[in-house]
Amino acid sequence: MHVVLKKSLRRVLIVSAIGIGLASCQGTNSNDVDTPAAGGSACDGTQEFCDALTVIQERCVSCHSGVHMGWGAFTTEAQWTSSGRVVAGAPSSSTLIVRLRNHSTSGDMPPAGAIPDDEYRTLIDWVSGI
Amino acid sequence: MVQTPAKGRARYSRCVYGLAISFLILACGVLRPGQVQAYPNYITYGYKNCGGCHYNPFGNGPLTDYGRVVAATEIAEDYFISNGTDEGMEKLAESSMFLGGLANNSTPLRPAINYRGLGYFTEAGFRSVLMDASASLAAGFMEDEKLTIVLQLAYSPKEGLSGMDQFRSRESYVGYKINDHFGVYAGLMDKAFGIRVPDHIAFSRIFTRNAQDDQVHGVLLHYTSEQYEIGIQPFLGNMLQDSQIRHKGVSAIVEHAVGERIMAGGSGVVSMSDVTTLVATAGHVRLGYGEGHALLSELGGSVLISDVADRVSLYALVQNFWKIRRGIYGLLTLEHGMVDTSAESFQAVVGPGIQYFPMQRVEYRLDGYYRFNQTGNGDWAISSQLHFWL
Repeated sequence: MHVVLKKSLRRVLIVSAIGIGLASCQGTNSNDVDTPAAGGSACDGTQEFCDALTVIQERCVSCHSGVHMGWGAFTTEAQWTSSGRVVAGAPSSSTLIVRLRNHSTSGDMPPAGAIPDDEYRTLIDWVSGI
Repeated sequence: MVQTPAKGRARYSRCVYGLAISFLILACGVLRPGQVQAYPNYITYGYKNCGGCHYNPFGNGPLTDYGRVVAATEIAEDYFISNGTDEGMEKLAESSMFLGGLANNSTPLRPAINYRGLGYFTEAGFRSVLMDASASLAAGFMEDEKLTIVLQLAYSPKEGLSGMDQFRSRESYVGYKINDHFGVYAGLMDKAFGIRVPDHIAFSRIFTRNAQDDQVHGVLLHYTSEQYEIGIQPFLGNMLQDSQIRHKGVSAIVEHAVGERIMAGGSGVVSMSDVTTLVATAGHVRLGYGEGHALLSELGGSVLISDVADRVSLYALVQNFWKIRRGIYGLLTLEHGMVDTSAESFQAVVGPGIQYFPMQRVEYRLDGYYRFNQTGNGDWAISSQLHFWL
């Protein structure tokens, strides 16, 4: 009986150890905002892109990190376009832009209320010029 | 006298910080030490520490068998089983075991499932988001469950992700209790810091990087006695994160029982990555009063240092629970946060909520949040959580 218990305990421990390794998936969290664009070094890109990135960092990344997708990790234009949220030259097809104003004067993002018009314009100027 | 909005907001800030500070002083200086274990508010039932009811010594995550009994006999509604008799209460306690006690002796496994969602209002109406649906498996081995294993896997769907990328674990660790006082836990866990409120968007959790996904791989050294509870946790960060931004460091928490139902504590964390360094500290009080009521208060701040600029953040949290009747608890959260003290801006939250245990094994929590900033602009959001354990 004791031997059986020992064996089953060992089995559970081995399975659990493997499980712990596998289950500890995904490494996105609050540290995602610590990208060079957010606090390490100057933005690497056009002035339009850097201005837009500042708006995104200030308005979006506080929620869009970790479980809501680590937008802080997108620090280049190429990363934004390959993410599918930005379509080069087409603000009206870019979900990043559309969801800010898809209801008359505001959008369903950010949840706390519309971003100012000048910041909205900054994003459009960037995407239009890609 | 006419109260201007600016004066009203300044008054709110003073009020939240004032309340937080006064509770800290009250607990640290005025009240005398006394004899002195879930949610931090269960101190009102005399449970000063979390480790009696949860496998994790600082709370959160799956319940131990003892925690199941407490939930069934003290916390949740009971319409059918106990009939208010002693014999009935024993039957209620027995029924709280895994699968009603049917499998308790044949397996050490304790599975549970959880759901967390967020709802908010927009011009287009109400929207809802599935934040997290998770399953956990806890197991205790040896006498008094000295050796424990906890595994958790959560489904957290995100736009643009598919397959296994939508899954993550927030708790996966092995623990060993050396004796009644000391324990060692290793694996992926929350950091030992402050009051572990379930509101992962609270300033006290965000500013100190203890939010929903901020668990770290590390070792937690835990000590508990009648008067003190101490945790020291060196950590390597989330090992699956890019090493350049992964924060490595140490966190610590000390709690002291200064009264029959009062715990006062302090915590600190120092961590750094290649890009930033974070130093955070907080003082807190958990206080139980009346018949099932509780008050939680935390005051803290953090400094985030980077090559470009340093940022100092401050926050205050006051949360009150009151027992409406067994099974139903009302709560009110007041929060104030300044993410950058050099800017003249702040965010504040007034959050009424309700926590309902319609029966043992089931918990429902609904939190409303009115968030506003220095401009006076604000909005409502609602979050709801549903927890089951088998």
